Amino acid sequence: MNNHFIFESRELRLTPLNIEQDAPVLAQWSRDLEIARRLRSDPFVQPLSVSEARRVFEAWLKEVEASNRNTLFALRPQEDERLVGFLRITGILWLHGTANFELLLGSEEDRMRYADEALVLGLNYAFGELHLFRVSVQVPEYDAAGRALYDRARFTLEVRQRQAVFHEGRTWDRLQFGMLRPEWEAFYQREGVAL
Amino acid sequence: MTTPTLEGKRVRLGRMEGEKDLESWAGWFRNVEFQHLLDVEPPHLWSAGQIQTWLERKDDRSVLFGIRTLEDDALIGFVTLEAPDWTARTAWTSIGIGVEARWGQGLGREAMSLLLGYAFETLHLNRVSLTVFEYNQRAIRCYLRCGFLEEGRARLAVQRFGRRWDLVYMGFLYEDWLCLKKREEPVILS
Repeated sequence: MNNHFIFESRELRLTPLNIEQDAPVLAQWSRDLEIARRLRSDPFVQPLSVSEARRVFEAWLKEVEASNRNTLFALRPQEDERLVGFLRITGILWLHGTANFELLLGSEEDRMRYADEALVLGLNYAFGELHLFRVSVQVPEYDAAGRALYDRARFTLEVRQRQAVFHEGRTWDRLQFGMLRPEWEAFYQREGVAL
Repeated sequence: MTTPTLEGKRVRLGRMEGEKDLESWAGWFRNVEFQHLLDVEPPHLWSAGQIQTWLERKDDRSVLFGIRTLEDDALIGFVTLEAPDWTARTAWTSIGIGVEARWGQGLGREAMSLLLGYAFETLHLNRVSLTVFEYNQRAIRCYLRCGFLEEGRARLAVQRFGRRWDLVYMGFLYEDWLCLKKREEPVILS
């Protein structure tokens, strides 16, 4: 396979972060408290101000530059510069060839439209370029769309942490899915998963 | 029911401080098996000074206790509670017995039970989580005896000794703690 355009798919592009333009968009998204919760670990989940959104980005970039354990892409459509989400590969352990996968899409509409393509771009990067052996992803039990996404992408449900997250007044399990390099090779290189 | 305490029959949990504790801590890491059982990072050595800096930098979002034997007050290991989520009331734990002569004597198990009591009855946590390497069978047995339940495995997540091993996830809920306590309470016959 000699695809030199690993940062592109049919509808989507992996691009660098543009702090000044993207921060107000992230602040807007964080009015959805589920998104706010994923951006900061404070006990008080609340929407981010634009300057806080900027600080979140700066912290992400600092991690990427300083730790050599993270990568970060902003997701944008082929047709314009609009920010639709982020793809982060975090906690890379080079000795073990493992990492966590974090896909965050701002709106329900964009999630429906772009999540599958974003995931495939991310997997190709993680296995094809970073040469990882496995990636993990965590999804709360109540996120039906997320669970369906990783099922479709041929991840395996590996861990069910009981009562590990609190949402809408009660506790839920946290699910962890994993994909191994041989699985990625079989599903994505040989069979080709239909999008 | 007795008041929760950090003191058991053979060990107690306490703060770590002073030159002697730091030297003990630094010494444990000279045993590479200790490091292989403890951490995914490549084995590494720290000076007492570096450890001091690290301990001082640790914020109030985690708890680190030294494990001391009651008979001679010797520091033999440590146990932690980290990354608390006060909304879900969860935290992660890790434990290490640094003195190899003390391995396999059930002291870690007693220390972990003390920590669980502290987590559930003093801090009001609802869940304590941990991960353990598949090859660390002694620790897995210890956690199961404490009452942890295996909740799954990240397949082949650890590369060690020329092959890959699973990372085992375990969890302990407050409801598990209550069940355990009920079993251990003496039955009073009238």
